[in-house]
Amino acid sequence: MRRGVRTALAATTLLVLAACGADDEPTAEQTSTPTPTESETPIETSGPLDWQPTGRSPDARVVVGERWTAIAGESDLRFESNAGDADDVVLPDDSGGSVDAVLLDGDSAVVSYGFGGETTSGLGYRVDLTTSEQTEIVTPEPANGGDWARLGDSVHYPGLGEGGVACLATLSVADGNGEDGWCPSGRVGIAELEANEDGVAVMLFDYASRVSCRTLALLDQSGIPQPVDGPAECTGWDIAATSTGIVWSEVTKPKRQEVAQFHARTDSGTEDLGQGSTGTLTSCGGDTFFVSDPATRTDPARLMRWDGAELSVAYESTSRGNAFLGRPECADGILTISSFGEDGDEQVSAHVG
Amino acid sequence: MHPRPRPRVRRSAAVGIGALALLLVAVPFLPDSGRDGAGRPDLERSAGSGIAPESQAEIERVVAEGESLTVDGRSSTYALAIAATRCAVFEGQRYCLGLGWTTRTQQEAAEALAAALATDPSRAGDVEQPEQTGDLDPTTALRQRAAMSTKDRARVERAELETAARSVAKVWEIRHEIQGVPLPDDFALRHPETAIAARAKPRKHPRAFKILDERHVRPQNLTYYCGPATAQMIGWGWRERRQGQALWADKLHTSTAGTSISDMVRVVNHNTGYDNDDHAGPYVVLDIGDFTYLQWWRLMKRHIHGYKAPIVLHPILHKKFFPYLDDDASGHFQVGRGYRRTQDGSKLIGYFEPWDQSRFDPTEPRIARTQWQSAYKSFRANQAHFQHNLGV
Repeated sequence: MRRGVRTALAATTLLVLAACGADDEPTAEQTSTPTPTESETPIETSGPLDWQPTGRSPDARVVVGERWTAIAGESDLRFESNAGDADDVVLPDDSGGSVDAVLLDGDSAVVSYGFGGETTSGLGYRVDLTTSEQTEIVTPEPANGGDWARLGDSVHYPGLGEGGVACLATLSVADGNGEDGWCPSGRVGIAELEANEDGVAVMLFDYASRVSCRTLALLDQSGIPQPVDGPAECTGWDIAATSTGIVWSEVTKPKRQEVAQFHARTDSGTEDLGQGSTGTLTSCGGDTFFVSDPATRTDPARLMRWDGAELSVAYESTSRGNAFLGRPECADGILTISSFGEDGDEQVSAHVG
Repeated sequence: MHPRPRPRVRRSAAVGIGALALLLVAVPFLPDSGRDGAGRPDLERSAGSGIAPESQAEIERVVAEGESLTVDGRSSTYALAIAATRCAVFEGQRYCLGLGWTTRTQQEAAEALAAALATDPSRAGDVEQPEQTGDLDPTTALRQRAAMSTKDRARVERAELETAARSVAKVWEIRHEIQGVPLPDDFALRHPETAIAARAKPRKHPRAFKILDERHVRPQNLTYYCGPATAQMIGWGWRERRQGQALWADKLHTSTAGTSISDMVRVVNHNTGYDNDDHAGPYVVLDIGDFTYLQWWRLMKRHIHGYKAPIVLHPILHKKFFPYLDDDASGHFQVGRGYRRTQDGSKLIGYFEPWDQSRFDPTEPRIARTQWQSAYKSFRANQAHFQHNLGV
């Protein structure tokens, strides 16, 4: 199985070297912003989600959960009880790093920190919010940065392998038992980890190309990445498993890194979901979401929702044209988004399911 | 690559702040006993410097103020920021040391610096930082000034203010052309050269325009080299010859803590011809905190098409503005070199991105150095930087 992944990466690396030289600058004739309404899939103009203000600054990193809300401030990461019936749990910013992942689920959280410089090892904690107990994740040792993903009691993250290589690692949040997972045998990186009830997805990339050649994969029963059918070679970025297949994105113009074309594969074929913002694919409450910038001067920024069969608009910004959304955050089936625009910023959350 | 040392306890932060306060107390604000008259007005010299006598007097006032300031070890962060933030007014335009040309009052600028110091992760000094790409943080900027002798600091501040005074006409032009501020009645008399230069520059701009050869790009080769890499690409654009980033770092006085935007502008002025009258005129550090998005967009077009000169972009490198990032990072420099309005009305900014995250972080894929992205996101990233300024 490993050989299959390596072979795919090696082959696609050659292709990306040629592709990167293409003149892919946007032209005045091109529509260079997302055009979700151009999708062949019918779009509903309003989503069923009941968005409520978080009461926080849109500039703050906030993750709203069922019982707790996490707020990443300048000096600490604070968990506040939504009902106000428990003391705040505070992780002081002693590490000097910046908060990366905040994976909140029920009464526990997993937090990772990223560091600057040429640092290779990262830092993560398991936090029991009922007792305020914080336990550093030691084994497997986290790599610096990268994406972490959580599904219930299981956390998937890039562990630090021999020679500074990032390997897949898993950990039980309840008891802290960790397990080394798949390690690439060559210079292959791991990013965009995404876990939900339908599977664990990951982007693999090479370090040799001028623009990394990227392969999207799902972990099999043994925890080994298996490249998926659908994404064009070397161009994939986001990926998530769904109840009917997968959703993924492709960055086809390396000089327009912020724009990706999103697709869904189901039992009945492949759907074009339109353009969206690279790196924003998020699973929540059984559905899959991604952000889409305004397509025209009069369009809002949108949060798009794929339920496995249909694409719909889950949120629209008040601002038109000059607007964008931050990457959604999900905890306990609750989605939190920050919206930025000329007519004002806001931060809202909603139960997905 | 090296492993990350274990995190320290919170006590480190207190030690760092205390050390900073002591350093500021011990070095910068106490006059040298043997000072040889530095900082006294010298109007004779003004005559040959291209600086109006009243501006020269203003420079000496601000420099002398710095020489005489005192704070003590119990001074608050706010007091330290007040001491460090000093501004001169040249022909009605305000220039604050380290910040640039601004419409903020000195008090407002000081309060903004105090707020930035209070939340600056580097204040702890000896603990690790979040991802730093090379924009000099406010605490280190203060430390560097503090480490100078009073005489040296006065010399550096005087040089910065003299450069500012010589570029006031450009600031007025920007205020007038971009922000619609009426020119002073005597502007043409004071600055006849600007009328000649202005006539040679187009005022109508095409839908899309770009400068610089996109083959002339390099990623920063050290984590704190966004300044040298940005200067390298701008210099490469002017000279058609690449010079090493270490050379640019030397010119920029880059340290492991990064590069200041004042030094970025100084080096562009001294090492390229983009500052001549056929291009942008002298580069200035301009606070765009009071700019609307439309004004910021006009400035991009004016500079890139009208002046045929690159812009020193100065954003905060956060994921919400730059979705290709894996982590939030620090303030940053990029080379602004293009703009484009698509047929559907969307506005894009073209820039060279020196930060290659894959080079220093094994969990991040490599992207292209040449990027085009939503101008509005770039504007918000610029505004979100605590200095919200850029080099134009």
